Amino acid sequence: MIEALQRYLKGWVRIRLEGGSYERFLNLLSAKEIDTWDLLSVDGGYELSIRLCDVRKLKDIRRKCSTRIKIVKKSGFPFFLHTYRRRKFLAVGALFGFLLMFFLSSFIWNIEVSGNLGETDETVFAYLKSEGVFFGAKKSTLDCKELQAKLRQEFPDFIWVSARLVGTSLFIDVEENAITDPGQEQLPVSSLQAERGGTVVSIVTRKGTPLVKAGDRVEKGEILVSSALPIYNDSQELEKTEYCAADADIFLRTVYEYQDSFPLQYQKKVYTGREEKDYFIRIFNGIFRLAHPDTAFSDYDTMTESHQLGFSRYFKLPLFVGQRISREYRMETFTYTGEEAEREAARQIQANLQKIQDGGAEIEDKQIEITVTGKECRMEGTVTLIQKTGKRVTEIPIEG
Amino acid sequence: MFPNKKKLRRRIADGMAIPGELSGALPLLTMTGQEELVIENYKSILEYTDSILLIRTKQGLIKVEGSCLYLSYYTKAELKVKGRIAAIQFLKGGAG
Repeated sequence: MIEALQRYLKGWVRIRLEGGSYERFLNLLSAKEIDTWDLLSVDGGYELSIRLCDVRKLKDIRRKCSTRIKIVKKSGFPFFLHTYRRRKFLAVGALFGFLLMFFLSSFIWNIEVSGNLGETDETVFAYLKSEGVFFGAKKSTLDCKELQAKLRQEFPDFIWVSARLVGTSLFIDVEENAITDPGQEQLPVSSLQAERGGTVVSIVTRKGTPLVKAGDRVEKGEILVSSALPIYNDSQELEKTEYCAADADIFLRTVYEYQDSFPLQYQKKVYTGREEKDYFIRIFNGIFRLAHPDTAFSDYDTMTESHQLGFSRYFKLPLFVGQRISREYRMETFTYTGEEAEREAARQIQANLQKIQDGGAEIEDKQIEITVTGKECRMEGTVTLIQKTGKRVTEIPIEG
Repeated sequence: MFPNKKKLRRRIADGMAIPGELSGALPLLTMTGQEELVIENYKSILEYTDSILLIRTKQGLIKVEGSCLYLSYYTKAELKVKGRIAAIQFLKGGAG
């Protein structure tokens, strides 16, 4: 490959020999130290390739061998320069392009964060921006080791951080701490309080003194597990009281009223099927739309797709191309029939109950009635939930 | 003084255990399958067509027969012939 590159840079020609003594010609080439390659026998003669600088040595050889020489191909950088000798701006443009690419490669044009679960990408990006690391920042101002230490300090849940700069892309990989509960040693003296009223279903106490048992009815704000630990002597007399951070799993059964309604008439988007596409180029933060008048639609949804250009995932440029699609719609009024209203009500009830379950509660029972009147659909009833409770309230221990 | 300088030179080279191709006397042929043949230490080409290549060396003539023969490169020091090589013959006469 290096040899091919050298030949290209110096230039070479392919010549055709006709008539005369071919063997003598080849021997004279060798004697004059003219290197040849791809020597082929063709109809009526031979073809071979030689370097451009050796062409002038052929005159003498041609005369001695009485061979006719014809140049059938010219290739190489000298010929390229000759072809474009009148297009100097092409060279200037190429040089400018190269310098621009070189200049742009000294900035960060792509930041990717992976491994973060508790902290969102936006939170991490916002912090990075405050530390001077952002889209368009100079690579020379970035110290990866220092950035790693700062991220670990700013986000205590990050137990491992790796920041590496490849091309114009900054990759941040993190590992988060899976253990989130603070150890008991870190909690202050505190009791557990009921966050809502209900009936105790189960209580498992690990630390502290339980004040209620399964089956007891409790009110909101009532202390369920006390931080006080009375210590009795052998005569069952209170010797002293110690205090701790109460810890227990307490589940309450609570009955809630469920009330909801929606009107039978509703508005819905109906897409007409007409859409308009619009292309744009974004350079740094400036957006240039390719000539296109503003959309004639009065109501429409817009979907934008953009794609960052670059040579690879690691060498991105501050150049984006994309398209915007506007889809026209009309708002139309519809009315639920009785059956449709009941189906919609059931769907809404199911969605709401699912949210409650996703919040950690268990649904023990539900009694919800759906009523369709002339103008609306009402859902009324009760839902019995079993939920974990135990709000921590800090206490000041009483000496004595 | 010495009737056969070439034989004497050869005997001195052999006595010093110098390989023949380094002493410049013997041609060096390197063949890859039946498709490639590199020849070093030759003097000139006597005949070249797409079926025959006749080369003069210090030791004699080398005749390469085959089909679709072409010279991949040809310099003063070595040449490479490619194609379908059927036979290589060492012929007496024409030694230089």
